[in-house]
Amino acid sequence: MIIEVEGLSKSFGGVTAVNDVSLSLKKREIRGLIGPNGAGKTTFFKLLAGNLSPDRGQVLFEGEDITGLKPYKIYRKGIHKTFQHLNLYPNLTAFESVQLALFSQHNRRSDLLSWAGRMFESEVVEVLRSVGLEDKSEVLSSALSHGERRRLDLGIALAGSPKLLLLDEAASGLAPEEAREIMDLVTRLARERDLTIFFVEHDMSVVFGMAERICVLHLGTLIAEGSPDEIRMNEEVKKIYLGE
Amino acid sequence: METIFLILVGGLTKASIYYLVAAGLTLVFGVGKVINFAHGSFYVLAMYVTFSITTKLFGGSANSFWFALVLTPISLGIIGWIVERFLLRWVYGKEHLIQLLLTFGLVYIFSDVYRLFWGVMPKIVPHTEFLGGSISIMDVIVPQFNLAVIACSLLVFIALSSLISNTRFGRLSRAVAADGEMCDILGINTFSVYSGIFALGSVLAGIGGALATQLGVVHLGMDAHITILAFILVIVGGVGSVKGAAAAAVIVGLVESFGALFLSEIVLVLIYLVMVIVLLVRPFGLFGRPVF
Amino acid sequence: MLRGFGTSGVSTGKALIALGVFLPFLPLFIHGYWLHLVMEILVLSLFAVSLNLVMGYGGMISFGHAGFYGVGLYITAGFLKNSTLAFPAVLLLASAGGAFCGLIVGFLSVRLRAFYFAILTLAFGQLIWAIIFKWYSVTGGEDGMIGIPIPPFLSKEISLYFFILIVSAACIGLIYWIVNTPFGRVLSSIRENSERTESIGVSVDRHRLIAFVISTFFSALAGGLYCLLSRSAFPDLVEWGKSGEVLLSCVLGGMYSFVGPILGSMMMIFLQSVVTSFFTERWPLILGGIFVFVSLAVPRGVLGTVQEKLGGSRGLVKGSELRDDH
Repeated sequence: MIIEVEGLSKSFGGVTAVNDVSLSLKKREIRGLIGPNGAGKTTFFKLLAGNLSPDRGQVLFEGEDITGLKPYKIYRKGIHKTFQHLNLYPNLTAFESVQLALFSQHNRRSDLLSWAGRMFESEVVEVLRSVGLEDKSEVLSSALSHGERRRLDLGIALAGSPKLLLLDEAASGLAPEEAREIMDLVTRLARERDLTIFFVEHDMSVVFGMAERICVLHLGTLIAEGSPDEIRMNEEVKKIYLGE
Repeated sequence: METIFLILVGGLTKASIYYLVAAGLTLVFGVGKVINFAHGSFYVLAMYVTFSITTKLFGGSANSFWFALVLTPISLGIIGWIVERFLLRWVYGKEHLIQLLLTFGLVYIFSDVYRLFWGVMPKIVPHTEFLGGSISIMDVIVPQFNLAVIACSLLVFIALSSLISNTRFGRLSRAVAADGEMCDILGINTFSVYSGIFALGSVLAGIGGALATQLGVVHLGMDAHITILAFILVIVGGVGSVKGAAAAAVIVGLVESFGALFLSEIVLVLIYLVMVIVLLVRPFGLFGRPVF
Repeated sequence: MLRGFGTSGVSTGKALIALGVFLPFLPLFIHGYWLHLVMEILVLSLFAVSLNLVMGYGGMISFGHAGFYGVGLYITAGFLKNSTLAFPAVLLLASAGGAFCGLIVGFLSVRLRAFYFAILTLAFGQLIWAIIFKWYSVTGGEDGMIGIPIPPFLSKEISLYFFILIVSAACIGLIYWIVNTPFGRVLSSIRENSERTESIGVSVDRHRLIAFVISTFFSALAGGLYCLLSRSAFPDLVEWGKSGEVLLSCVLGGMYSFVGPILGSMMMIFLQSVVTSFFTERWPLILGGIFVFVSLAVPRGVLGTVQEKLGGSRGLVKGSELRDDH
């Protein structure tokens, strides 16, 4: 198990966003997380990535307790997350955005001596190539198309060999083919590297096409977990998605 | 024991004045979401205006103060309304930096206005005869006016609380404070709410300034201190909370008074320490909710 | 990297080199009052550039930087007057003193959101002023310190000029280097999007603190240099008024570019000398007016506005604005 979640809960005021969720992922697994809107998927990911701290529960990563750690520490452990609502740097080029992540990855954050310039150029180009953006490297993030921005988002998260990738609707806002392209890309990269993927996605064809196992969240509670076929057959899941 | 009681009264008197200044500022923040560095300058302006009203308009007669107590807040309200309408309105919703720059500039302008119209010498406002003496409470001699100040601000506190909860304007203000955009969409004239709140804040600063003239001398350089203090009170009390402003004012007023007795030189440090501690423990202030 | 604001590393470098080549020859053309003015510009430029490390690059608006400047000024004044310590050591001590204060203030402030940070720095700046004002025995309080002796090797105007030129140019150059290191890039990214930067493994608070301390080091150094020019130290140089002046210098020139604060400093000193010559008393009024004008009409400063007109919207997308989510 690369990551084990035990009884994770989070409430805001009177609203329970995540309710006693327990699950675990094997190394190199590709796991999907689905659920209707408001099910708590993004909140759950934020709990894992440190953006929020849980009220109760525990998260173990490679055996180490990472519950409630700050986001920057969790990143340094090897858990990288993308953002549901693209969270890029409008005034940085694709190159600079990825380079930034590499500065952090290579522990050069407080490097006050070297000229930044094109440091780590070959690595940056490699990352951009892997997400199909190598000829957009000098383009400002704000000038990229939505699909290209999604790729950049992915690229930033991929920079620096993460162990676990949390993808929060990485294909959101994309046309179906583009969405499948990106997710195929993700799958391929996962196979090539030693990467575990946990992803949230609304497009069911993508989820069922990609995931090895699927977790279903409803109103903060994990109501089902299993292979794509098992989930497809699950009565409760059908109910919450299709209504009574 | 006597001394403690006197210091308590002194501290509460200070707290009363501080409350008046802080309440106005916190309302403007909470409703208008505007950062007004110049609020302290309004307070100081009120003191100078009181001086002029009592000495020029009433020839320095002993009880002219009470007229000033009415006229000064009104004039401050008008000045506040003008500032809001013609300057502040341009920067609503803009980056905080722009608001800070604008109001910081106003501080400079006001600081020179004092010099221009009133010169560099400190001013003394004629002491009131009515309520100007002392009263004996439990064998302690207490200045009547201090009690009047405390009473006055208690009245204001009650009036303000009922204004906010019971009047239409109060309800509108609360609505705008909660979600200004929504109010716009619902057809509420948010701009007039902003103007009203800003004028109200200026009036409160006016009352505070007027009352303060009886407690000390009016001199240049007061604006920096009171501005920072007002901000500290708003932060400690929680942005937008009138209750919080009152609580913070009492804390700071008492800390200042008791601190002056034992640790006079580092009183300022103590107050800043209070602010830092509150911010570290409750980042939104004692009674605040996330506004900024 | 501050994108699209008139500087792209190359043109800033050229501007700085041009200045660096031109300035040493200045004493051939001007002396006395005018040379003194240029020296003031150099010192203010260093002060403004150091502040801009925190403001334009770090995205934190500090209203109390005059406090650190003042610490540098007073420590320098004190040592020059009362000890025989070599001047470079004095300057270093003064800068370290400023940085130490910056460490304390920064530690308490940088974790807070933009608005609270602004108020806190204002408050701490005033606190430093209050301490200087009240500590009569050490600082001379309201009377200040006068008649500060200049180290002998700087007694000639021309040597003073070159000393200040070399030191301020070197420091500005250092800061220019810093903003182009990985540290500097990460700092800018914090300004652009602190949430994202935190999520790629940067401890935002710690990073901001380091930037703040570096900034206060150089601000205090500027204060120390100023002591050479003024040969005195007065509390009003530590007050919020001075904080506002240096802040305006950054904004006026354009705080999203490296050279903006330098340009702003030139304008500031020039304006100040013109006003005090003609309307001696009314500088605060005019300064306030400039604040109001800039905030309403040209919030991006001279260079920022020029860039806007020339470059279109490139680089002026939402990320460049101060974000409240800090």
